[in-house]
Amino acid sequence: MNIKNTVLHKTSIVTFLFIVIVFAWVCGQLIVNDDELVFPVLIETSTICRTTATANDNELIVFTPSKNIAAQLSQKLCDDNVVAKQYGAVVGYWGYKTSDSLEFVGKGIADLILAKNNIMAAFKAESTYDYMPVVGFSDYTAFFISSKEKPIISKSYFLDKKIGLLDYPTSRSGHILPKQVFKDLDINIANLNILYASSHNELRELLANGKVDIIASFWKESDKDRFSKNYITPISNNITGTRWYLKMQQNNTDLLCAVQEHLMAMSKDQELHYYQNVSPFWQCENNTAVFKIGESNE
Amino acid sequence: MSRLKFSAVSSCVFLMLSFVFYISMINKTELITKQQKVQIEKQIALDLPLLDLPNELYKHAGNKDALVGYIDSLNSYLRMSNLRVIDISTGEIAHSDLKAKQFISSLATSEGPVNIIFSVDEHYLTPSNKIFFLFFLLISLFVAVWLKVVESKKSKLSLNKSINSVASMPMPLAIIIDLRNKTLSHSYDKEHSVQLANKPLCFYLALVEYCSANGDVILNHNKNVPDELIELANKYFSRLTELGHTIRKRPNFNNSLEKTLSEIRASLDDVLNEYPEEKEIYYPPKAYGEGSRSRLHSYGLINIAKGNIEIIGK
Repeated sequence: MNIKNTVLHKTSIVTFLFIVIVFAWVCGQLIVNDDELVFPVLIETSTICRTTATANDNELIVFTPSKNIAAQLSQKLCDDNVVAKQYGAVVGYWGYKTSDSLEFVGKGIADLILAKNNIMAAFKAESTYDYMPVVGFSDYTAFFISSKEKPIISKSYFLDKKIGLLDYPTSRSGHILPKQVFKDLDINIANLNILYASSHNELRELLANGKVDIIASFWKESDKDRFSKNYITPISNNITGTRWYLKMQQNNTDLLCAVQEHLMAMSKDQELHYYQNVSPFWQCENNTAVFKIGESNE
Repeated sequence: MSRLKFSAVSSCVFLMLSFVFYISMINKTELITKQQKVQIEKQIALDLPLLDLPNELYKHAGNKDALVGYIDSLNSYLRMSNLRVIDISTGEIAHSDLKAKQFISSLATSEGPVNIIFSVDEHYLTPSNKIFFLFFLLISLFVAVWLKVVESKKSKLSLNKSINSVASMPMPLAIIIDLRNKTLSHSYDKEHSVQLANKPLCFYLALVEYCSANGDVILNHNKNVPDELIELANKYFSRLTELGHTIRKRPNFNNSLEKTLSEIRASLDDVLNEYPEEKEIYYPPKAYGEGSRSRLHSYGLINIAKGNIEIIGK
């Protein structure tokens, strides 16, 4: 009776309302998801895989500018018997920036590295760290490519054109060679209207979209779908292609032959025609490796 | 409680609860958003050396694809958050380029500012929140029903009270005569009592009883007091003797009638001081003008039937 009387009173309704309001506030506070954000490593620069020799602490370090190739190659090398006999793990690094490849070449960090021979030469890495070429992509030609006319190599032609170049200075076809042409024509580069792009594909986008009049790049088969082969002018012939180098501080021919075999096999899977066209530097027969004379010329 | 009032109360309570809930959510969300913004900025700052951002000095165009990939993977960890990273860029940025619900946070680096464009998506009406609003609706309906019950009980109580007051209206005042103390008082103020001597007390009681029985009787001063009245007076006197108020033999109620009556009137005057209109009922009428021994005058309590007299210790 007493409780009933208390309940049937306006004061208890007000008390109840007060409690419910506090409850509503607490609910509002609790319902908002307040999980702390936890980020893993968002930008990975390497991949590691273990060979069957789990007790072996030696690591085979691979460096390539491409993430896909680094991942594929490390996995293949991990599964290889010869590698498993010598190494416990394969670490594949891929460069995120131009400076990364300079660090790897200049300090001889990688055991197996994909590099341009001009960079190797600049650091004298072949003599300093005993890097030996294993397989090489074929030589190529650098072109000025235009969409509307055949470019003419003359000072007056370039001066009122927008020119697309690559922004990384290690590129020969997209940066060094065209700039050499400008230098030979006595053009002050500061007077040119140059737009930089970060890759050959981006250069092609710029040209196709009309953002630039001329780009400097190589010619690949698929380009004829977008541009005319009549509107290209060669800058320089026989640019030595990129090569895979193996650090050969010991006469480790087993590893050399195994690596060469994998690289040759991998190149066949590449999409671009250019990357399928590789030539080996070594003749692996009867457990001996012989360097093919005449192909090691710089 | 009317239907209108019911819906007004329930919607009022519902709006109040929803408002508090909403404000609480906004409050917490803003706090969390602020924290998460700092966490995201920290992560971007950590990844900044590896982000291929355009650089004016190095004539570096930056890798747009890598940046978009980075922003996508960053946003994939922000699914539970209200924040999204829209873009990361270097150099000056115009605030007018921002769309609605976007804001810029700037990181100062040695190579100039790095701007992070965030978008905030504040969604408060998620399915789980809708359940809360439904719950609040139920609570507000409950409170309205509760209030309705309380109100109906109140009105029942007040109805009872009014019925009681209607019942007591005709006899709002009762004269209380206590034989044990020989006092006269009235029901409104029982503390205020007046003592009466034995003779007037007995006579008044007898008069009241006699007049209640014979409403139209005329009692003249020049006639003897009726025997019936005397008998009643004697009876009350013997009751007083029983109660131990007196050991004297009973007085002659015919003697000094006028004096007895004025003693009664004086006491009633005192008791009914604040209610003069009640005197008409309880007061033995006085003779006006014609002289106290006039044939026409009657000291009988003509209206006593309307009165209410309570006798204690009868």
